[in-house]
Amino acid sequence: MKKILFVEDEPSLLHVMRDKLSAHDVVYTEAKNGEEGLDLALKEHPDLILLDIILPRMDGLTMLAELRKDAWGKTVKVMILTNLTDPVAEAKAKNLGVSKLFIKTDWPINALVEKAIDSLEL
Amino acid sequence: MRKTGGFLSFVLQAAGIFLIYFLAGQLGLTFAFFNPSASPIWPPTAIALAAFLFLGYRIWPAIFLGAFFFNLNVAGDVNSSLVTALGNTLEGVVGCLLVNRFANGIHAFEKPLSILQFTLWAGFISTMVSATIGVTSLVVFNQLPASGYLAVWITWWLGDVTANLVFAPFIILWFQKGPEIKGGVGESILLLLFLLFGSTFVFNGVIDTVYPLTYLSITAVVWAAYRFGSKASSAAVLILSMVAVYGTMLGYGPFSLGNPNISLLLLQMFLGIISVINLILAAIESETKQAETRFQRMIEHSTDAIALIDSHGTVLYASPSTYKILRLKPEEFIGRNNFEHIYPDDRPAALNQLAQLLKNSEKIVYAENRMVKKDGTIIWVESTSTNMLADPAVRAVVVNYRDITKHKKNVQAIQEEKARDAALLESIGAGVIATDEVGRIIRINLTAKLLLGFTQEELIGKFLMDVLPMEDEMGAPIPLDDRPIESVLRQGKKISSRSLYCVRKDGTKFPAHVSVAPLQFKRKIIGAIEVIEDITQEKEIDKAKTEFISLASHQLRTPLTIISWISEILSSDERKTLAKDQVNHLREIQQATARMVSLVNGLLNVSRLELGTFPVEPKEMDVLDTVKEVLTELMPDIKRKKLTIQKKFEDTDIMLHADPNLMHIVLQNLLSNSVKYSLPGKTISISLKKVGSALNLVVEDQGIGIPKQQQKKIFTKLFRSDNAKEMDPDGTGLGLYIVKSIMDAVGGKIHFESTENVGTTFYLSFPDKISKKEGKKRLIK
Repeated sequence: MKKILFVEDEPSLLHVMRDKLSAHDVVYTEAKNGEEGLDLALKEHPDLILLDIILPRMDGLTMLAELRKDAWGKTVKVMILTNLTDPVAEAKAKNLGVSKLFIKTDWPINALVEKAIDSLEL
Repeated sequence: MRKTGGFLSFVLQAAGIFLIYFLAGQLGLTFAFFNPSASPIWPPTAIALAAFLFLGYRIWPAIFLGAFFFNLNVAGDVNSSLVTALGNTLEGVVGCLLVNRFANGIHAFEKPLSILQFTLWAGFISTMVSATIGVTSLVVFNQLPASGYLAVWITWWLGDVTANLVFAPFIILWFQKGPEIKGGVGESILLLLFLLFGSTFVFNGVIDTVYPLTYLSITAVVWAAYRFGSKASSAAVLILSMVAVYGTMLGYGPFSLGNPNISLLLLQMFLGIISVINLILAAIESETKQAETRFQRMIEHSTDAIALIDSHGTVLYASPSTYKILRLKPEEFIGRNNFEHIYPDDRPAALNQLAQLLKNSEKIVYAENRMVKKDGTIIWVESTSTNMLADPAVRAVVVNYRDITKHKKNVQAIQEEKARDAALLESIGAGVIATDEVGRIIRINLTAKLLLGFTQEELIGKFLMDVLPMEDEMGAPIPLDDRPIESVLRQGKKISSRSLYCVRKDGTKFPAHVSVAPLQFKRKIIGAIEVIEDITQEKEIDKAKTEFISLASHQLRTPLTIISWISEILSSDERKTLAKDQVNHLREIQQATARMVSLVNGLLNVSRLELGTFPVEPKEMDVLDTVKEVLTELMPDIKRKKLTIQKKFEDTDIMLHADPNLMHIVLQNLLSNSVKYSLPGKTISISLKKVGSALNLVVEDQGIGIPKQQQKKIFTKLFRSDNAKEMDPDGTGLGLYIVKSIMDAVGGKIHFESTENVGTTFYLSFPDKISKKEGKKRLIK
């Protein structure tokens, strides 16, 4: 079974995502900050990481940069779900191999989940 | 008329000369004791010379005829008289020629050298002509035996010589303007009496000839020459000559030797030599006086004063200008000690200078010191002192001095002004650096030194480019060619640039606003002024503002995400437990959330537009792509409302130099408005037209229109027209404000025509080229 890791500090959003993904045939894990997200990712090796940018302890982009230093993490699929519109963040993400940022308010949850599941090529 | 008059006056002149010449000849012939044609006293020679000198050679007929007639009268022979007259005339012509050529013409008596020339040419040379021709003719025409040739020749010649030396100077001097007769009336009367009695005493037999008192008579003419000048001198000689001739003729006086011809010749020679010497004396005296007067005038009219002092500082001479400078009459200064008038504080230095001066003769010392005027005012004086104690003609220290108080005050005023300007420059809160025309630093103010951490010495004379590196936002050095100062020195235009970083001496950086202006003088660029303002604080405030907006919108979005996602899940009602009205309520929540999201996005854009933090990133783009993109986004609504989109443009590339993101925002806002405010089934037409490299865009709809009285406010932030609010309560009132702001920012234009319930047409024109602008916060589509 494919694994999805959601790194997000907002409990309500974690809740929504947990509910939505439970209907799909994936293993879902979550982390509440960048540090925890990085630990979990390196331990569990998820197939897809849904990553917020503004996070406590370690922000999403730093976590992504750390992840890319790891042999496994270098190629792992990452979708950035954020509410930050910032070309600098966008440029940094691009440098770290993530080409598109999803603005959470602009995307219905169903559409996002669909994108995530599609990317796993189940 | 004038010609006739000129000719007439010439004829009269000639007649006068003829008459005078003739009479003078008659007079002269009365002294012809030796030979009837050769007289020791021969005034006509002098008259002929003067006539030629004053009236020119054309007067010759008068001379010739005068000579002819009295010769005829004497000799009675026409032929010999014609030849002799020719000789008399030629003598005058040759004399005039030589005097004009060598002796300065009628001004012959102004200079000793020309007097000598006159004596030679007019006195001795030219006179040979007449004597030779005249005596030869006498012999040829058998009026004189050849054996008597020499004796008669000498008499003839000497008579002419003395005429030109005694009588000619008198005529020439008295018939020209100037020189003035000097001396007073009393002295002239005294001189005249002395001359008459003296000469009479000597020559008219008052005392015996055995006493050699002859030369006493010379004193009178020397007196005339020395005190009264050459004019009077020539008259005195003439008077002496007349008295002496008269006396000698009567057999009195030292020259009376029994033979009247020899007596007269001796006397005439004596008088001729006295005349010449006397004229020279007068000329020398006059020259000396002139030189003195010239020198005096120079000193009197000079602004410089001259003082001669001895080795103790006692004033020996003070020039008239002393009064101008010190308000002391020269006589008040002479005899006093010069140092008394030197300002006490400056005395030791002045004394020292004098001591230095006395050590070497011919040494020159230049000095500036203060002096005290008679009224007590203190003035600044500049002086040049020369030690001429060794010069027997001077025997003094010559001090040339002038008042330089005004000059000193001006210099002081200029220095004060300079100091004020410098203080002004120093006190400016911005760093100011001035460079020359090649960019070398020539001036730098305090703020600049503090800002950059350099000292004055480290910067002056260095190239600004070398000592002050500048970097862009990303820390990359700005190429030398892009530095504002380069363009200013090259093009002479003022440049002001933001978002630069200046690097201090220690390598730290600060954001700066740099403006450079050319320094121009007579239309030539002679340098540049670079003003550097440290904008660290402004940058921090700007950053804080944008960060706040960014964070605030992020914070606002988070709860909106939660509401949006959860209401989405609920309204999809997967468990089929909700009543229909409950689902409708949830849809309303969703719509409100969407509106809130677009409001947040809109406000974020507004803040970026207003802070100017959005980038403009132009590139060659196909506007058609953007139009299609936007229409695709709007397609669900277009379909729902069954609207017709009329495309008034070719379906080929429409390339434009523009920012795709901004273009998208503009088109998205305009077209979504048209769709939103159109009634179902209507048409929206889009027209794109290239005008050169620029682009005109027209969007026309058949919507509800904008009420006339609200049209003015349609581009105002958060404003929505009444009919728009009624039709769609979900608008933000930011769309057209954003469109207008973007068009302004890229230099485009926008206007519209609208009739309520008929439709609205927006006209936009995009410029052919827009400039790139750095910015961190891109506008949100």
